[in-house]
Amino acid sequence: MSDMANLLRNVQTAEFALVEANLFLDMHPADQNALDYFRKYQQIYEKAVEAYTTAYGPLTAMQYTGGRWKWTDGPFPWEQAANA
Amino acid sequence: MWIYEKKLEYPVNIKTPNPKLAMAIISQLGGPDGELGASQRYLSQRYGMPYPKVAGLLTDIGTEELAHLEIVSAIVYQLTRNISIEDIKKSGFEPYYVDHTTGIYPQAASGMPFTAKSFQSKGDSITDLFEDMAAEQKARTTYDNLLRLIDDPDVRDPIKFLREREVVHFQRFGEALGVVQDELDSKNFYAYNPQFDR
Repeated sequence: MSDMANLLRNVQTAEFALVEANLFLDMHPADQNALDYFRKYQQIYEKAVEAYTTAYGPLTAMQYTGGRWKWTDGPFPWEQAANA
Repeated sequence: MWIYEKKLEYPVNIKTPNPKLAMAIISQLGGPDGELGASQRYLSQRYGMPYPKVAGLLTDIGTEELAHLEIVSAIVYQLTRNISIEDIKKSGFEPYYVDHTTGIYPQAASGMPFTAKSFQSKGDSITDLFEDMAAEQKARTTYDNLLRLIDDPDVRDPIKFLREREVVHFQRFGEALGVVQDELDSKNFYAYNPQFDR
C-alpha cells in the first residue's frame, strides 16, 4: 500500500469508529462507555487527519493551510490510486 | 449543509474490471433498495420528526447513506474502467453502454432509472420508522443476493462492509421506534400521528 493510502486508512479507521459511536450515542446519549469511546477515537482521528493532511493535502477545503491550492489535486477518492 | 470530505468511508481497490458485475451492483446505486433512495428517504423524513433524538438519527444515517452512494459508485466506476468494446460485447454490457457509455448513472439492475417512487415520506413517525427498518432489511437482502454473485474478494470486501451497515442501521431505527412509542399512549399508537394530531 502507498504511504498516502496508508495514512488515509488511519483516518478512515478512526473516523469509522466515530461514525458508528455517533449513531449509537444518538439513541443512547448518556452511555458513559460510549462517550469515553468517542473521546478516545476523537483524539486518534485528529492525529490521523493531521498526519495525512500535512503530507498529502486537505481532506476538506476548510483545511487549507496556505501555499498552492491542492484541493482539486487527484487522485479522487473513487480512483484506485487513492485506495491502493 | 454538507461539506465534502475527500475520502471514501471504506476503501475500494478493484484490480480486475468486470462490467457484467457492475450492471448488477448498480442496483444499490439507483435501484428500489439502493443507497440514493435510502439517503433521500431519511433526509426527507427528518423535517417533521417531533423527537430531536430521532431527527438527529435520521440526519446522521441519511448522511452516511450519501457516503454509501459514493462507495457503490466507486465500485461501479472501477469495475468498468478502461474496458474495450470487445469487453463490452463479451460481457453483455451493451444495454448500459449505449445509453451511458461508462458514465455512472443511478439505475436498477433491470435498467429502470432511479425513481422516488421507491420510498415514502409519510409524515407519520411510526409509519416512517417501520418503513426505514424494512428498507434496511431490503437493502441487506440485496447485498446478500449480490454476494452470491461475486467471487472477486476486491469486490466482496466493500460489499460486505455495506451489508453490515444495513444491519446496524436497522438496529438504530428499531431503537428510534422505541423512543417514539415511549412518548405515546400505548392505547393509541396507531390512532394518533405525533407529527399531525395536536
